[in-house]
Amino acid sequence: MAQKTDGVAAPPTRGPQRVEVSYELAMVAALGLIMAVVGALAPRFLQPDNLFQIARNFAFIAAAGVGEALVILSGGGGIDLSVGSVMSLGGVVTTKLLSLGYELLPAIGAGVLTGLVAGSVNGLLVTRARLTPLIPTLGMLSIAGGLALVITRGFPITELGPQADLFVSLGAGFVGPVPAPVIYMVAVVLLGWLVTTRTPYGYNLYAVGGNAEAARLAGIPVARVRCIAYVASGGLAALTGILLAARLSVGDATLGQGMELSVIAAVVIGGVSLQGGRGSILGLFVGAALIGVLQNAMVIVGVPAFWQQVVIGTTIIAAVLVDRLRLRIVSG
Amino acid sequence: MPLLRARGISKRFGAVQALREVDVDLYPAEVLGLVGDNGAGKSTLIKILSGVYPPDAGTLELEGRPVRFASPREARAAGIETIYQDLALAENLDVAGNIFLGRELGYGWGLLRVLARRPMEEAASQVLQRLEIHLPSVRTLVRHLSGGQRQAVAISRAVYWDARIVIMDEPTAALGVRERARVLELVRRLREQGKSVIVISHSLPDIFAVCDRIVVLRRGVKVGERRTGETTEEEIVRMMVGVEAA
Repeated sequence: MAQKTDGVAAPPTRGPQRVEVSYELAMVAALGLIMAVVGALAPRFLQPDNLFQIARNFAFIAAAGVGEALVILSGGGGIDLSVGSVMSLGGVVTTKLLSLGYELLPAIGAGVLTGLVAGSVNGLLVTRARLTPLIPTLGMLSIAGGLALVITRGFPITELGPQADLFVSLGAGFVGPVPAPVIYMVAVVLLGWLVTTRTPYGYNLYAVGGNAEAARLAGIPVARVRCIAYVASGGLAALTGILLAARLSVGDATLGQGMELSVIAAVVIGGVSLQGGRGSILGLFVGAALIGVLQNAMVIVGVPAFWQQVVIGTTIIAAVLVDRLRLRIVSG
Repeated sequence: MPLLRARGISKRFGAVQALREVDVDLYPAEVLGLVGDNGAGKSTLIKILSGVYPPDAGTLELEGRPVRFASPREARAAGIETIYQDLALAENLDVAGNIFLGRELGYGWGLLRVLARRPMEEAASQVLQRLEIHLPSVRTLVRHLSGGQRQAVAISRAVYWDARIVIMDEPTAALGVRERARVLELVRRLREQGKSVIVISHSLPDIFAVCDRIVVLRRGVKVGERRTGETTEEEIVRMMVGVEAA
């Protein structure tokens, strides 16, 4: 405590956002650097159509990542392992209803509702039954994946009913040159960012994640704040899974299999602390973009497919190490 | 008439009788010191006064009217603000965010409520000014503040919300000499503004520096009560450790 005591000459503090943004800026810089290098090696990489393709590929991870980031920000060991399976389930429920001839909106509504229910179950088990988040969401991973298999009986749903074209255009269509999923992702990320930085709920989420006891003493309904994060994660995962099914024009129980790992990787690379309370939705977005760019760049540069996973894994660890180092510097 | 009157407050945790029929009065614009050895029941008593625990027995009256607090929120609504030892601040939020913690200003309802950040920041600056607290900015993250500055933020929060009674748990613990003096100065300023303050402290010099009256607890029982001007540190220590005065 070698700080000036009277507060007039305060320690060299920086603004609240600025510290967080500096990590995000570093990520953006890293992203720019990678893109410049790959662009120099393979000019095709920076063509707008390739960039849009990259964005379309990571759009699903980023959108589901918004919900995951809310859960992780809420602290208490918060994590949602079920996002991948809930994506599958959402996609399967919607495509099944479409194949049965239901209208588009009710079919999508039912798919999203499934996700909200899954999220509510997770949230209630974590906040009311006080289970470690790993457990109920791991169970939900299995349950949602299993239910998707039960509905499809293991076969992909390819017959999407009378409104198949409209449905598929939601995932595979374009608005001008921009792929539909990219527009969806931008909307979700923007919404997530506004909620976390511009609403009382967002402040409460950071407060609960940073110091749950302080939040409780300040009268913040800690359990409700956390529960809402899980519900949002379930709903967003399902909606994202529905759009992924639309993009692939198939409902399949394996649609989102393993996606939870990419989603969590994007959140962590984006600088969201697994301790909760630190990080941002914009960081998540940059993290997802970094994964997308790396994957595409490795294909373009010709890195053998098997090595790509190794690179992604290394990136996750490196990002967290950098973050740890930065924390040490900031806190002296 | 006392502003706050606690009568016969008892509280038991399992086999431990934390408080046994404690009576305490707090008068308007008074600073009351609450002292006692570790485990004497000071923290339990203030947690009951601030709505964290319900008492097993006993009554609370605020301005002569009986009150029951089911939660910290209810105590706060009645004008009792508590500043906990660990300060109960969210270090990852800024000064303004902490002053409004759990009571954010906003437009709209529910999840659609939008924060009114500018008004929150302006109100935060005003209350800091009113208490003559100087911080780099209301946008500074609490994580970057010193112990005394954090204490000042916690006090500002109480004052902003128009607390009539401010309860402070070890406000000067872990502070340097100058910060300690500034915090004590803040306590006096609260009294000048008509607030009543309850201070828990292990530091008798600090208690004697700001308190009008001192209540001594030992093993959950109130063993003494003195006006600050009519006692000495030695007498208070004797009461705390249970050695009868010669």
